[in-house]
Amino acid sequence: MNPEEMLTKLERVLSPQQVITSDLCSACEVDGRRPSIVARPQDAGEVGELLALCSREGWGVIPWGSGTQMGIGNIPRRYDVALDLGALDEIVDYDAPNLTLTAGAGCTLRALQELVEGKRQLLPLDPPAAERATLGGVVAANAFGPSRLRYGAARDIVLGMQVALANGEVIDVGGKTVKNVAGYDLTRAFIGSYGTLGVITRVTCRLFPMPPERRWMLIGFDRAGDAFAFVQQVLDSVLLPTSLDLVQGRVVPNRSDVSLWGVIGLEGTPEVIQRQYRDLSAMAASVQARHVEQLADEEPEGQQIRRLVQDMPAVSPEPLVVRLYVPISAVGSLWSAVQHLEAEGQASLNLLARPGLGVLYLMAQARDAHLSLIASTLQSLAGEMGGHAIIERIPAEHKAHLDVWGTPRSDWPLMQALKARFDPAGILSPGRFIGRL
Amino acid sequence: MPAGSSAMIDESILHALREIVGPEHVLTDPEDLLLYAYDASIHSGRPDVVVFPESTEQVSRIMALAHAHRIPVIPRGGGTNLSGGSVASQGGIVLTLSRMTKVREIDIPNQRAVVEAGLYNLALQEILAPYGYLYAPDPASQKVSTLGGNVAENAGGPHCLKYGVTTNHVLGLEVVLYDGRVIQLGGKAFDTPGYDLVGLLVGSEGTLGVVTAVTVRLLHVPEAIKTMLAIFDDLDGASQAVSDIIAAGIVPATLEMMDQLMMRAVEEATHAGYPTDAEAVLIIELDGLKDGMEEIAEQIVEICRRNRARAVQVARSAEERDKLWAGRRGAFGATGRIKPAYLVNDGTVPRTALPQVLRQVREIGQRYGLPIGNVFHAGDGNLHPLILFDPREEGILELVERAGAEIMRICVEAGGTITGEHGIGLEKIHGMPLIASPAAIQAMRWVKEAFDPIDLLNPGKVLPQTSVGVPS
Amino acid sequence: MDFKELLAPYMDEMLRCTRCGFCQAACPTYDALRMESAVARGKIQLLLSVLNGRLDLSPKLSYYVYRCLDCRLCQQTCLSGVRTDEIFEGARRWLAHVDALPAPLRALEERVFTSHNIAGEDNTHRTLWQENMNLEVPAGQPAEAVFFVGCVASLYPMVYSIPQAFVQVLQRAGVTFTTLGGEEWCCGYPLISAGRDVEPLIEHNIRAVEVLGARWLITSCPSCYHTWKLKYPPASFQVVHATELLAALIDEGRIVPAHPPALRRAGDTAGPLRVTYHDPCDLGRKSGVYDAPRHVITSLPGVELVEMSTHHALATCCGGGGNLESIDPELSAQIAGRRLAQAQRVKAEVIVTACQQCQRTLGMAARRQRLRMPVMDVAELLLSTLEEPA
Repeated sequence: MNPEEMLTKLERVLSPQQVITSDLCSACEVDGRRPSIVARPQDAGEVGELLALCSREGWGVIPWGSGTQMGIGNIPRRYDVALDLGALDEIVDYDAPNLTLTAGAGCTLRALQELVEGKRQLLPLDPPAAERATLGGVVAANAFGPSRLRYGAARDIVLGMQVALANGEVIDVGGKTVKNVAGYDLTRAFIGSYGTLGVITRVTCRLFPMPPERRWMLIGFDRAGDAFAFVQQVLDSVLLPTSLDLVQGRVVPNRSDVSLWGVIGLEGTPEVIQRQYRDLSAMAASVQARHVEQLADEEPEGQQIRRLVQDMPAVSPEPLVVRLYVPISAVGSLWSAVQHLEAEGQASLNLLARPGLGVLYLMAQARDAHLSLIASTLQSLAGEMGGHAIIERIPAEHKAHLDVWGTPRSDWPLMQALKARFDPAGILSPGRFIGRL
Repeated sequence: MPAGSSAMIDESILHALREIVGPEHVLTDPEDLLLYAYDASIHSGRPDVVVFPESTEQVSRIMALAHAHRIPVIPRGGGTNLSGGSVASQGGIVLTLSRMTKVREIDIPNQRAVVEAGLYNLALQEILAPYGYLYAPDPASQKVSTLGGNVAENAGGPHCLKYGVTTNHVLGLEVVLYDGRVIQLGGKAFDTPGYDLVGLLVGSEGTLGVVTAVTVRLLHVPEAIKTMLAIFDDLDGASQAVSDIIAAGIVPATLEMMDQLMMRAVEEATHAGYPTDAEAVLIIELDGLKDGMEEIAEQIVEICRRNRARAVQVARSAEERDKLWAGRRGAFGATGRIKPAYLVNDGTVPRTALPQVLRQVREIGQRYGLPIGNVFHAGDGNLHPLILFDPREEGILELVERAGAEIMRICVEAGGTITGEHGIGLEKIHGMPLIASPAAIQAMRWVKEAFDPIDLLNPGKVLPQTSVGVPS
Repeated sequence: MDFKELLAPYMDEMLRCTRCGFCQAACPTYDALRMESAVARGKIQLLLSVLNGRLDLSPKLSYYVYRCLDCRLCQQTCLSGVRTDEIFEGARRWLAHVDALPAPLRALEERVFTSHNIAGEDNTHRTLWQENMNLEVPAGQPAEAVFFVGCVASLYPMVYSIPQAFVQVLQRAGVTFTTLGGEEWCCGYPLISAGRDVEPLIEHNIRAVEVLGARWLITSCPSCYHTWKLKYPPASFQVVHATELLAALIDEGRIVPAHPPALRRAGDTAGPLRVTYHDPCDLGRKSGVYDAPRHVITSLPGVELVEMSTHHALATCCGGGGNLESIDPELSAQIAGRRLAQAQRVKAEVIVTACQQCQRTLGMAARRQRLRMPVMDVAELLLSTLEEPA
């Protein structure tokens, strides 16, 4: 599409300074595809008008926050407009007494978290690259981090949202109460829909009281079997750690002499933390764990550990990043099963497990030609174990013959039917979602 | 094109239904049709036939038959719906899942259970108890409400304050679609790729598909539980205490409120020990690790005192606790001791609006001359004003419905919504425009069309057919 | 007056039902059938439909009203306190009145009024249970106490063991008693429950006891007990349930349970015999006798009493209550199976009850399920502790 022609049409809905045609377009590349223009509407109404225009013209439009999740998805079928939501950064309603926050999709998580921390409250979303991630992006991707174990993901925390639809209408769905069953739960449908059903312009989240204290516990294991035996004990117990991650020993700076590290987040009153620390230490001892230590969240080392487990899938340099899901008790077998890739010399691996969530991140360095084979092997492996795998990162050329979401299941015709109604012109992130919707 | 009318169900269709489920599980006599014309709401609608499948395969064949002949199907569990969602307002087939009660799998290592839709919520809890696990959503009707019904309504319950509602605990569904296709949504693992169809199905009130089996998440039974009864001489003090407890950073497992009128009925029914001379009580339950729980309890006592609580009692035994809860859970049923019928509102408001909204509710009751009792999930801001009446009084129903509509409106004006857990059903369909714009309702209709393009499943529920005004 | 008019006085009580549906959790018949027609809420809505002119009286309506254990757990647990007992008693009375009794009950009525027992046998057969016993059971002799055996124990060989055990205990305790022999007539319970008046039976039975100059009427059948005590007019003698008498005899030291029960001696398992007690509806919930049978059981050496998940006022019916067995024997058996499962869940080795109908129903269900779970009467268990080991 000729940018000049597009501009003429766009001027009817956006002011010229909100439309960029310059080299900034290269910053909005998706899988090597570059948009013709970047549009930066100022409010939800403008987003709606822009989408209506795209629908009329058949322009492919991909919404952008800060881009931390943009690697996830199939190659766009069509990409004309990058929709930059950065201007939608208004704090609409911070209702501290009711523990809710409504903010524009373009707000960064960090800004919102700083805001609510001022009132000793917590917005417990801790996805990778939370420093830059925007609220809208995190919600659209249902992105999550270690503390999902205690607080749930966006799916559990988001109470309502405002969405611009492909027909230009801007609707409010959900509300600001935890309980709300007035009509279909469209909020849940938009969460994790990766900008393919509508564009999230505003989100209402549930907040939590800031726990009196937060600490990190590090436990070193010599064998993966010990680590997972420990995990099983924790999950079978009444203890409620906030997070429970396992990483390979070598990734923790200055502490590389064990095979695996367990990184456990604890929070609550000092009594609750100490009780858990005591019980967890005993469980660790029962599997002959070495090194048990405790770090305060405020200490630099505590912060470092927190960032390590939270950001690893985003900052790790490997060309292949796969997020595998299995039933929780299968994470240990999955961890061993993927090792053969390394053992057979196919790849060198970096692993991060969240056993309480049934999640394993696998980051692999391998010969480029092998990447798609490894990726599809992992998808089948997860499938055999009763789960699935999402290819978060892989060079675009591999995506041509690989659905990064895996093979569509019996529910896919319904997804197709939903997509056809919400986006009849097929303009919203076309081709990016499962089954290249 | 709206589906169905009784004329469409002829002898050949009945014959086919009998072939599918056996003759004894197809009911057509007038007595039987009357028995499936009501639920726990004030609505009714007589079906043309009632069927009782016992397997997903049978449900699938029934749906395929209904699809071929364009006959509406109304899925039904325990018939305890409070918004008319399970009555056959347009006739058709009532599909009762009460015989589908199998526990397919209790998977403790994965903290999941797979059970059929007709199993009672409490039956599941009883099965899980020996393992030391529970399923968190605990609607007051849990003795007689089914998991399938809980999914359809996105049921809540007292403990949802801390643990969230049904949608936060359901990970997978087996669903029979309008044309008989059987699909699996979600599963034991989180985040099945694609749209969150489980999230859409939960709370869809039987209009998108027939849920035949549910995969739920199990939680550990907490190590310690402490149940307190805070007694207040004024309603304002009780509702302010609710806000203050949350504002102090405490998230109790439950924060329930009951007013005097309801306590009187409940006390007569259960002798649980509620103080019938008090204006209101809060049932506050803490759960979790025992460490530090005492201190939090003391903090709560202090907050209640500050809000003029007359006393705060702690349940001394499991038996005392069970009695308090039996009273709370039985409250709706006990209203028959006051008046023969009730309309229960389900509006939900931000907690800080509670004192004001409760005053407005009382004012509405006085203005209409209708007794209104309150027993509700205060911590969630989820009100349940029960408007009590005798349906034999001339013109009373219209009055009750007007009062109900006013309550819905004040909840929305206070920043809340018209239903927190009971569903839209038939009863609140006219309230939908209060809470959803025409474009939002249109978007919901797209969902309906994607799942059920010919409006076969529970027609006439949830979505207003055309944009209708709210009765004033 | 037609049925609708006769039913009208119950309207207010029926309207108290808020249709909450909680009675589904209480009703054993609903638990087995999972159909609304089985449960109090449904029956009340049907009767209201008759009153509102939406439904005519029909055989099916009558069948639904009668397909009931009359166990009253719905009333016991109803949050609105709806008097389901009054409503259904009234409904049955007027259904009978307008000649709408289901056929099996009509046949039962015929049998009772012609042969004076529920089985339709020659009434002199009532003494057959005494044969092969090494003791004489007096009949029709003047005595302080009359043992009213009841139709089930007299005429169903499967439960002959109950009166046999009971009279042996009485003789060991030195209690002088008599039976009425062939002059015992059905107490009328099943017909009263069906809604019929049984004046001739009542008059006959009272006269038969009074002419013997008895001060006590003892019955081991809870239905007879309930009927004599609450449905008969007051008489010159006192009505006592067998378990009440047995408890008193133990307390007075007139019988001394000295040995572990025979069942325990037969096995070689260590530890006391795990006994659970099934409360008969007519004795417990409907007559208020809960403690006497438990007192007897806990007085026995080598016995441990465990309660099932439902007991006392909330005990689940065995399935033999009301006239359900006449109306739908299959359903009655299913319900019995569920009660057996409760006993299994608490790992009971034996179910003890104090009712021949409960014992028959549960015993037959255990046999059908090939379940090795003995079901016996309190008197039988007691007797086995009085005897020297063989």
